[in-house]
Amino acid sequence: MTAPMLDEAEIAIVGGGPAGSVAAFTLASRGHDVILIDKRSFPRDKACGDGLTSSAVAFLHQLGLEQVLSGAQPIDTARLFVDWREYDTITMHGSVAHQPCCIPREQLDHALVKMACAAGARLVQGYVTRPLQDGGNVVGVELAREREHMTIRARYVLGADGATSRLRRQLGRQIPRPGTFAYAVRRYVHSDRPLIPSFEIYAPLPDGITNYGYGWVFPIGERVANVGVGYLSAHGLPHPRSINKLLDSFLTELQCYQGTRLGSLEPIGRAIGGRFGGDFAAEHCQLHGVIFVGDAAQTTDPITGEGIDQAMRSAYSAALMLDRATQRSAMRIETGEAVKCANLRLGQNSAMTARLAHKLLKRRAAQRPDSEDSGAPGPLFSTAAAMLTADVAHPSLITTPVGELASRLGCIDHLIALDDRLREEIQSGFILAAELLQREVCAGIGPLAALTVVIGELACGSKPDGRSVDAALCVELLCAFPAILSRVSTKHTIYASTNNALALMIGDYSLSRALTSAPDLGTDVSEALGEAIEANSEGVALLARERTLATRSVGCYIDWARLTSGASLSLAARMGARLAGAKETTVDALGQAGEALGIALQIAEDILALARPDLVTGRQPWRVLMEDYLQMPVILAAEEEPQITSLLAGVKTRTEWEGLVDLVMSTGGMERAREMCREYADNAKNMAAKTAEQGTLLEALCDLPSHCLTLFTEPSHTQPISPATLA
Amino acid sequence: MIELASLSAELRTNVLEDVWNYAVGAPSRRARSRVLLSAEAAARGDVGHPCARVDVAAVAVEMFHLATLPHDDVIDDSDTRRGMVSLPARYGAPLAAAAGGLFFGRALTLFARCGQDAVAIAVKAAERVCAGQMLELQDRYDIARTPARCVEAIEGKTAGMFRLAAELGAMLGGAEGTVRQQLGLYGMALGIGFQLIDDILDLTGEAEQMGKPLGNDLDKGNYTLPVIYALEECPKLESLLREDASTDRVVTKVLETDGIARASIDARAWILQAKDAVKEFPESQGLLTIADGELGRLGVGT
Repeated sequence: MTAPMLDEAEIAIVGGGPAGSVAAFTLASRGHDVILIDKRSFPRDKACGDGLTSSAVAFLHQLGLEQVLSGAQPIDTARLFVDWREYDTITMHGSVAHQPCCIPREQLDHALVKMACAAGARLVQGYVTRPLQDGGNVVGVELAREREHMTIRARYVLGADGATSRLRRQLGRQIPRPGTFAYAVRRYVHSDRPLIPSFEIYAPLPDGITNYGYGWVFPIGERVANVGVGYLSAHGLPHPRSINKLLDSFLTELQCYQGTRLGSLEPIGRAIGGRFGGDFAAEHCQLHGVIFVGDAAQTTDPITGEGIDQAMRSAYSAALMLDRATQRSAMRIETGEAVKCANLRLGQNSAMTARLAHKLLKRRAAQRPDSEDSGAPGPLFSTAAAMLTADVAHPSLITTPVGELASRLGCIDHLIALDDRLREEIQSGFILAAELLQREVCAGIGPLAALTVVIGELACGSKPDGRSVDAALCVELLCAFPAILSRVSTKHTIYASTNNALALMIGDYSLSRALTSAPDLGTDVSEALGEAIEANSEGVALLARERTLATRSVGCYIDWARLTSGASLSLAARMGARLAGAKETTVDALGQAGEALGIALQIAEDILALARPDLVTGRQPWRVLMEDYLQMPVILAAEEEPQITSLLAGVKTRTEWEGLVDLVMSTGGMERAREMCREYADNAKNMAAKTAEQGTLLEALCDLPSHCLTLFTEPSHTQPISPATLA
Repeated sequence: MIELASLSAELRTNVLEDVWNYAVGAPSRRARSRVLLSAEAAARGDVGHPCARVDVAAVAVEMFHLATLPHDDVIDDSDTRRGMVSLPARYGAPLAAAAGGLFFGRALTLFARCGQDAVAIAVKAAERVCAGQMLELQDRYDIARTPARCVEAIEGKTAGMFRLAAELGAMLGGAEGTVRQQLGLYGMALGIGFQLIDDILDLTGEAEQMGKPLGNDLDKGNYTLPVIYALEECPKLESLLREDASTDRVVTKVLETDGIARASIDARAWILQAKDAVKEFPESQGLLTIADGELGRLGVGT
């Protein structure tokens, strides 16, 4: 052995995965002297699903690193299979430029390291044998290389060395409360036929023991796929005897049940796996001056297994903090802050869901579904799948047609403020519930109800302010309540039970947040809020009863719409008028107009749900029909074409459901529903006219349904119009 | 005692009429409204002639409590409640879920009739109750649950409701400042003690007395304070829980430890703290009687 070599850098980064490389690239590009250390030489293989979500792709574009994706396999859908039957397909509906993709980590990591080096980072291969410490703070690392030892001194050290972080262990600190981790193993397989470019997720796992996890098939090329299994390991959860055997049985069953579709699958190379994710907590992100990023800070989501996106984002945030800190020559770094903005989902919450699922599985073991009824995973699984394809991690109202509508009506600023408040409000608590709730809120008529508050106030001649945003948020959250409660299922399956528990938790959560955000507008508005909640609940009950009795009629639909959307929109209009300090008669008239408007909007919503996939959730028309078939166009179509009623009870497969959607569309049901929608909108207009307030905006308010029907189906070519033009 | 059954439902449709009648007719000790009425008397310094709003508030508090029950039962898949078939078991989960919403909406409507201050107090309580429920769910089946986390969940879920009752009573009785604060403290401490006693009886009491099967919490993965204490003392218990041993075996094991005794000491301390908070008030007899009733349930004399 020769004498130890010595090197110095401003920043040493341990670990050359996506997190380490992104941090190295970011810091080197900003002129910092960076050494990037990895124990292996590149290119090297890595255990991973190889899937990049559109959020990850968008982030690489944002960093100007999109060229690392050259040769990646684009993905256009996510498919969810339950008990080997297709349950849901979510079509990619974000920006085409940010299409999700699959790329082997061997290629991706190598390309990223090269980009970091091109930006000026120096790559050093070697094992970290021990951190150099000075008065407790880490000031460098010692490395063992093939023939020599090396000492690297650095002002800052970043730990990006993965879930089992050696650096963290060397600093003598395990993550507190170990036990919430996920394990996964994957293998490449070759098929004798071209594969569908889709993220395929299979649940539950085939061994019947490991009840929180999924199997996947992610194509990385035309005929090659990454196939793997992963599961969450937490206190009290059973785990498989051997994860490799679990993968073997998954592959065998996959061949057996899906072989006709996927072709004959031939494994290539060996199976490799690892541990990831878990109990993310901001306090894990810093130890003796070392900042941990990526999986070394437990950023992987143990529900979806998604990790590359969060790893890169957390590394980028930490790099920015470091950059700022060096400019100020400040040593102290708020690392908790550095990773907070990295869009993390807390492992603890996932562990809770997993334990809940486990309990239900245990209790329902005797009722293991084996019939057609088995496929009802509920919002949890669907949301996990949606997160894989969503263009941004959190849906935003601004990007939906509601945003366009708002800018046409000149209240986009309020919508932006509302969007921020919504995120802030519901993210202050329970993360999993918050995410599911946010999706529900953005997908339903909530945003339109929120807009109604603002327009109502403008129409009564007052300028909306912070209190208006509070009120808008309140009704927006309120609208999510009946929608979520309607997801409660009567079925006695493990999925249904998990689904119900989640639905009620989230439903109650939406109510509690709605109440908290409601501004003090007097006891009569509070009473109206209580009455709206009562009406919503009765609406939910009505829907539940009509679903079981299959006695759908126009009258019943209108009753339901009046109780739910009608009550919420009436409250919204009332709040708007009250905020503007309008007269009692005006408040009442607008309240009545709001009810009619709510019914009209609900019909419009139904028409749109059958006309095209949902813009926020990507839910397909056939699923809408399958899940809640109390829709106005369907009811009207059935009046015209009586066989629809009997077909509704008999259809099973997706193709049959799709055929049924076509059948409904071919009748006059859609057109009659449009007429009915216009009728209620006209009623609203007549009632609003009684208020003798500013006419144009009130008309614009009552035109919301027709705006929806046109704007939401056709991409807009029109310029935003200002309230001035409206007046 | 507040009689909810005499309330007319005044519903918009008839869908939930049966559910409503079944739920409001179920036997109950009406503990929360009793706290409210006694707190109001203590605040006003006079036991007779409360104003009409006090009765409305008492009904509202019971309605709010009633709202949480069907949701708990759906989340837990519970088939019995207070010795009767639970709402979801009788009417199905969707109607039970809707009924919870209906009761909550009615509670809010009634709170609004007691004034904007009452609404503000109720909203705060709803937030606490919801957060407590989530905290409890997060900790389900978690062997590492700590006594502090357990009490924190109770503070939100059960004590949040008792505190609401006491604070509303104080507000309606015209109390301000320290008096109002002390009454709130009474509600919270009493609520924690109340829940801890329920949790103890779940392991020791007769099933019929509780109206649900013995070891019900354990079965649902809700590791209550006696179990947490027993776990600290007995490592064998941890392996039993990990192995999914039968509830009977786990209960037997817990009863062999000092878990129940330690939890009883805590429960008693909370109840005594509640009594301490109000003992200076001239008309605190009602509140003290309620607290003594709890000590009686625990099997400890006053």
